[in-house]
Amino acid sequence: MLRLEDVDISYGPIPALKEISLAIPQGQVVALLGPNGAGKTTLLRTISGILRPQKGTISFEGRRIERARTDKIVSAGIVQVPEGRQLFADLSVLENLRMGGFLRKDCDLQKDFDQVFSYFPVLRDRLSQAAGTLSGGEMQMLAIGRALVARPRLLLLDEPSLGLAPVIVQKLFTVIKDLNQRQGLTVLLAEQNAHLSLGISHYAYVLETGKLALSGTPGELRRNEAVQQLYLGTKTVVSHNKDRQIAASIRPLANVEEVRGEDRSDEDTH
Amino acid sequence: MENLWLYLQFAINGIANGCLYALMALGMVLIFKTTDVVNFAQADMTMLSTFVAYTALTSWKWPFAGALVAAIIAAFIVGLIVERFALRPAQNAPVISLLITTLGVALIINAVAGGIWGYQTLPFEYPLKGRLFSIGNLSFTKHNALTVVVALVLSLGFFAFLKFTKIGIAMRATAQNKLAARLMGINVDRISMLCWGIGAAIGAVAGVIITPTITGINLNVMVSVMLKGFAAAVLGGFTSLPGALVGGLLIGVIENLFIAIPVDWVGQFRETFVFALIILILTVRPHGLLGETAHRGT
Repeated sequence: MLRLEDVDISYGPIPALKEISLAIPQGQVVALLGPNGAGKTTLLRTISGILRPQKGTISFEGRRIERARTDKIVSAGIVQVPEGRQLFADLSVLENLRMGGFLRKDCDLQKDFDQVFSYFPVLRDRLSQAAGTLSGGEMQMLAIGRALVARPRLLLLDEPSLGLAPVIVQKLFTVIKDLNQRQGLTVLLAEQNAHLSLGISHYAYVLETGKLALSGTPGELRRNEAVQQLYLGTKTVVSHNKDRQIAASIRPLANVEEVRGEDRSDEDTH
Repeated sequence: MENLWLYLQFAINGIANGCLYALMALGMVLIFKTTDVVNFAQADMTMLSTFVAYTALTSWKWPFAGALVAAIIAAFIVGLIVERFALRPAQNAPVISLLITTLGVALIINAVAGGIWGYQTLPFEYPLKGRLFSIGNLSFTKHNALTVVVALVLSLGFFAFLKFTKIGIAMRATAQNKLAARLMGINVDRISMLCWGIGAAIGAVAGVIITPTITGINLNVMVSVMLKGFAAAVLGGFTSLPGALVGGLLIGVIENLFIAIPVDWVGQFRETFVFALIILILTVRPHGLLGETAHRGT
């Protein structure tokens, strides 16, 4: 359904993604795994036409879309739920949903709203509330609901679990699975939460520092040592060499902790 | 007692003037909210469309309402052209460059208008003379009534448009979050263009109605109107459309009350007092009367 071939993207002189080739078959959930900064958001924004690739082709149902305008891509059926929800904070819940149907030619969105409410009943009680006043979980529900009103054929989800309580994340993933199984919706799911993502996907790609490092079925990836260590958190014996690699790849996080520690000691001295 | 009537009379005139400053502010705030650009060409764009109204009135002998419509259409088209050919090509430039671009647009429009209509002040004929009715010593002129009605209808209609129509909601959505707007399939460039058109058209209404009350129309007559509209917008918070209306009315009323004070130099320095008062209000409320205190998302 969607096919990327040899796609390169850079921000000015800084390369962000290199030689990305992947395929999303119709009717499947494909997971895009990888740590923060690996390029997941960059890739999704490129598919949606927000960013332009320097090289390579992107085709959707046989048509090239790498130079298409975002509104053309949306009307072709690729709709994105962006990272950090990106709701219209001062607009009401209902107005946010209406904007999901901006490109719909028929003006009868009520059926689509009802479908959204059947997945997320809580939104029905919040219709006139400003989106910015919702809880984090409700915001993510609205962001997904807003995208559904556009009647996507391929739904791009960017870190839907970010910052949410595990029980809410479980519920969201159940909805994503249901949308795929019952409605036949094709999904590209970019996530750091590998464990849950592998649980609902048919195939997965692992992105590391702008390159596709691995790909395979959830079963294959679960058996992969590096994936286990980095993304699934299961303890396995790995060679000393691999240990070092892993330590190197998690160093940025350690730095953050150090900086925070210094901040705190600063405050103490005041 | 007589003094009280006098102050009331000036307050009424002030409300009428304030409505026009409010419209000017509304146009500027609309453009700023959706495109992050403060339009310093608003005065010259308004001047140009007021000249169009002048030509319609004097050369083509159109009725006043027809001239007003001509000015609105001219302003709308000028707004579209300015967005498409001056600002959009530079849309990735820093905001400060865009502000300079609007100043450049102002100079170009000024030169073009000078070439067409000349540099002298032209008299602007106005059919609505005299009073509509009086209550006691208070007189309500036809002009004041027209101003208030036009401002009210225009701003209510505009708010309804923003609240209930799909394009109106899309304008607010674009103002709040451009990335999300694009991801919903909203053509953000087209929305920006539309906002420039509408912003300029609203300014044109203010320009055409205010011109007869000042000496006439010339190349620079709109600058002080724009400054007061700008001040009204700042006073209201610059991101709030209702704030622009409140700010405009306040400035109009305060300015006119200063005229009413029977001391010569107070009247002469009324604009100075108005701006001093604005500075005072902004030191107490830095985000304006109805401004948002939080930072907006991108």
